[in-house]
Amino acid sequence: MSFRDTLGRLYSGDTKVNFIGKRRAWYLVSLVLMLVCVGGMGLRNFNLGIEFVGGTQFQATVVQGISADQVQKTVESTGVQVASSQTAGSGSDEKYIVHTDGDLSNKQQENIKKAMSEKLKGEEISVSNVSSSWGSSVSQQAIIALVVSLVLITAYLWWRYERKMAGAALIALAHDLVLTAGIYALVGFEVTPSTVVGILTILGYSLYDTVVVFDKVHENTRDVFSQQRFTYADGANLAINQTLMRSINTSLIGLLPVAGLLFVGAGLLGVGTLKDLALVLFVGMLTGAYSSLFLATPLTVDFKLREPRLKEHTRKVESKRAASGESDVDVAAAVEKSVAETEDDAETDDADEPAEETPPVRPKAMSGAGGPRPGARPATKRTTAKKKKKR
Amino acid sequence: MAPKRTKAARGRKSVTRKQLRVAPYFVSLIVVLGLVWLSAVASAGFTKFPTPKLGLDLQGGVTMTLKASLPNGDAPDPDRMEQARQIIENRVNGTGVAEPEVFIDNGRNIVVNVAGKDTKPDQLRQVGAPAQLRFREVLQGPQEDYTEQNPKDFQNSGKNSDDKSDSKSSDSKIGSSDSPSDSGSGSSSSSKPSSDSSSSADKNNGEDPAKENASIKKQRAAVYKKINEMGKKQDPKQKQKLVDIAKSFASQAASMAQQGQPITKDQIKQSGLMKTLKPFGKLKPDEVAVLPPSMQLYTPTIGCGQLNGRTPGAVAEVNEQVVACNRPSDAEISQAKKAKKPVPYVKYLLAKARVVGEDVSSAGVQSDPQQAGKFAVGLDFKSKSTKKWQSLANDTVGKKVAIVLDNEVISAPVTEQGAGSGGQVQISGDFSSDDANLLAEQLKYGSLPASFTVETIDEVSATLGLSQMKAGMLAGGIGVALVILYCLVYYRVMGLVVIASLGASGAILYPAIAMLGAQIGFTLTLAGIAGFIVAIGITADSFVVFFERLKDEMKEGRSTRSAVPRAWTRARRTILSADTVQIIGAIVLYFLAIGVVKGFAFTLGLSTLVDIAVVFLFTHPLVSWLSRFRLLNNESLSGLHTKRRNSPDAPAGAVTLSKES
Repeated sequence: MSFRDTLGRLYSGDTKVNFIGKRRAWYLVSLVLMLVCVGGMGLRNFNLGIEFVGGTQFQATVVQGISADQVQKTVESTGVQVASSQTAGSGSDEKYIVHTDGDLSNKQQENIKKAMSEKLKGEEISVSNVSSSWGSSVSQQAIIALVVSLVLITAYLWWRYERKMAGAALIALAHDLVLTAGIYALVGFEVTPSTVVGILTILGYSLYDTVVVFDKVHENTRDVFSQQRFTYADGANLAINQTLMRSINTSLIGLLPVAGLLFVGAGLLGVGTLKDLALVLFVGMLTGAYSSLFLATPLTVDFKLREPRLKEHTRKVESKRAASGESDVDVAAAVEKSVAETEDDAETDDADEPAEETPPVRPKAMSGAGGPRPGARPATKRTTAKKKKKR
Repeated sequence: MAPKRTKAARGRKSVTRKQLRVAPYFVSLIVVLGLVWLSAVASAGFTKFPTPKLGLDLQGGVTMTLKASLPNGDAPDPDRMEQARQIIENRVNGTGVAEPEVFIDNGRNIVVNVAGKDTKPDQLRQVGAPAQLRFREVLQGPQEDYTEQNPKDFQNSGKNSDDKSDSKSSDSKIGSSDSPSDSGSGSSSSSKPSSDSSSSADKNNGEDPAKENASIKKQRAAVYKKINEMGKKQDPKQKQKLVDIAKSFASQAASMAQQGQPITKDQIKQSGLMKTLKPFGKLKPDEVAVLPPSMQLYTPTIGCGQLNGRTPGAVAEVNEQVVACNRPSDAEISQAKKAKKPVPYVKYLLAKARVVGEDVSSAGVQSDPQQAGKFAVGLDFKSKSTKKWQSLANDTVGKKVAIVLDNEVISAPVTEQGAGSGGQVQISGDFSSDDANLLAEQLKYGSLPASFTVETIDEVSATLGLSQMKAGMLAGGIGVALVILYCLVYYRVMGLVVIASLGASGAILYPAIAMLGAQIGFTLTLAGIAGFIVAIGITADSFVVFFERLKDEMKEGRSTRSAVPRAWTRARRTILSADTVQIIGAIVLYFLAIGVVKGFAFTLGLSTLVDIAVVFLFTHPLVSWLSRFRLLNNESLSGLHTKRRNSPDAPAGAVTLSKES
């Protein structure tokens, strides 16, 4: 398969990657990655920002010809221990950043500000002072928020789709969170309250991506029992392939602005909210994109296949295939058919949709909709009729 | 639209799909836009272009977070928090900064925001400190306040803080709650040299509390000058300087009070001083604060509104004599109003503080042993401070001791024999349980109903703010540009639809943010900008979902015209589900998280909502309308056509059968 061809298939949603069939391999990959991350968290501590350890940070715009070391000496000359001093950012936004640990008295802070300002020829000094308990109250609150949103979103997915999808989405989410946290521990990125916020946002984003794939899976497999040409797994796999381009698009379009944030936050400013948020989002969205394709949907399939009725159905489909000697079934066409017949249910539900026909015109329009696919028409009609009877 | 329909229907025999009537959608979008912009412009007062309210990290300023806790580590209840917020707001106002914002965040934090350059972070740091509690002997007073000032006129903020308060001053008394066992009698007299101040009180009446403070002297001179000028303006014929009149009157009144014949109200009326000294009544509280105590006390035109309006801590200096007023309770105020009498304010001249708030170890409500059904407040002193108290109590038997909180006398009970016998005392009076509770809490915490610790304080210089603002804008710009570029390459003409839709989103979001800033005080912070930027992806993704669906439908051979409604029905569901998940996350974050998170969650949630509106009211109708033209059926332009790999005209059903070789 040439590269161009692959792109073309990707573009048209015709890829035939067997996501579901190779799911054990993906699970293994994820498991290994998660183990590495958990190990990383165990071995290396998080690099916690001043919000978690408490302390004071002084910031001032860089003045040509004065190094961070000189600034540090100036600060130390007031009799205060400096924990770290550095410059961050670039161009006109370049700044000195001096950290001190522990609590400083007002007087000490005033002295440091004065000393720095004198050294830096009257530059304004920004001070940010955090008690050591602040970070933990932020995190504590964040964990509450995390749990509450997980419960609510799970409830929503459960209601909107089904329990098993909600479960799979949650596992995929946990995977994203562990990976992101692990990468932070391993690389040693600084963890600040903004990072914690970012992690909470990943949660929404990762689920958002998953939901879009689920939506297609849901649609493809809604009437899986009414036919015996494809299995649940086939339908799910097709859904992933069909939404692959969209998933890539979503992830790209989501990542592009975040990349912009990261570029500005890390490149120009060097420190602060923007960088912290952008970095964690960037890492989280990458893992999120991976997990909704390779983890969430395969897991859903595994969960679903525990249902006896589906097991039975899968067995039937497979034996039928074996009997007819078909090895390469056109799943897409089969799903297409199944979906086409459920479509009118959907359209009935959407009576308020202005684009829909008024009931009397209905049969006509249906044949019109089926028009471009002459081969499919009789089947559509037949199954539709059957289904109507069933209801 | 009729001609278009016939044109588009060509080649499709009998299909008479009703076209989506797009006009109502665009009209409602315009109505929404109009309403948002109108309200934004209205909130800006019609005079200027509405602008969002910028957070302190973008414009420079100080933001401080105070965390409340009760002794058992719990969070205070909402009523207490609100009470504390109001007190802190008053104190912040007292520091003289411009337009501070004080609000409760997440139940147990109070956030103080002060924008601009002149933020006085050192003073701000103190606002969460428990109020300064002082025990001072009453040297002179209570003396009636003749001015009938309304204290609210002398507060910087509109809000009046501490509503409930008691001033059962004259009725209450301090007695020992110890079993009068050892009694220690007069014992102590303590080692403190200052303990003799009570006996020499009258002599010291006019003592200048600022004799060593040059800056106060300077301020005082300025106030004197101002007063004299005002006096000249009021009555050009008056030769004597107003300050001199006030001074001589004060010393006269002091000597009369010393002789036990204080000046009466009638005498003052006859003297005409109320009129002559009127300019004193126009001084600001902090100008009054620099005047010598004797002047504050005796000048009949200086009222308790001014005195109580002084910056908290103005009378905190332990080693100075001060003047302070009581604080009548609401009940007393309304009673006085009903009777059309002046509100019962009284002034006190108070000695140096010999016992301070830090000496109190605990306070609690007890039942009053002498009056059934009434309550008293029991007070424990720290063991090392017991001596201080004993010496004060023993020196003031039969006299009043004022309990001064910040600027106000919250109680001025008479010391009874034996009050100084131990480390415990009881303040009794005609207390209801509410009164007693309040007093006990004030004694315990100062006026704040909980203890507050400074959790974070961020000082952002204006330069840093500006640079962060620019960075945020740049990041947003880069984000939008990248997304637009990508969409143009990928969706071609439809990319223009994406741009238009993002534009529509922006056109709703901007005024919405400006309006929310003016209406509910929503401030746009750096984290908020980040929320918008992240939301660009989500907004654009709704279009992606829709367009990909459209592509699917068209791959099956449909014309754009028939594909749009079908694709929309399905995409709509997906968009709503996905956005719901996002909004749930944002709402939870907004309500549960603290700090910068709120702004982020707010803008993220708001953008997602606006996204739904734009997709429904703009993008879909627009695409639907465009689908009537041939433009979108043009394979190389629309970006919706997928290459058909077999033969271009093969029915879709066959296409997917192509097998890999």
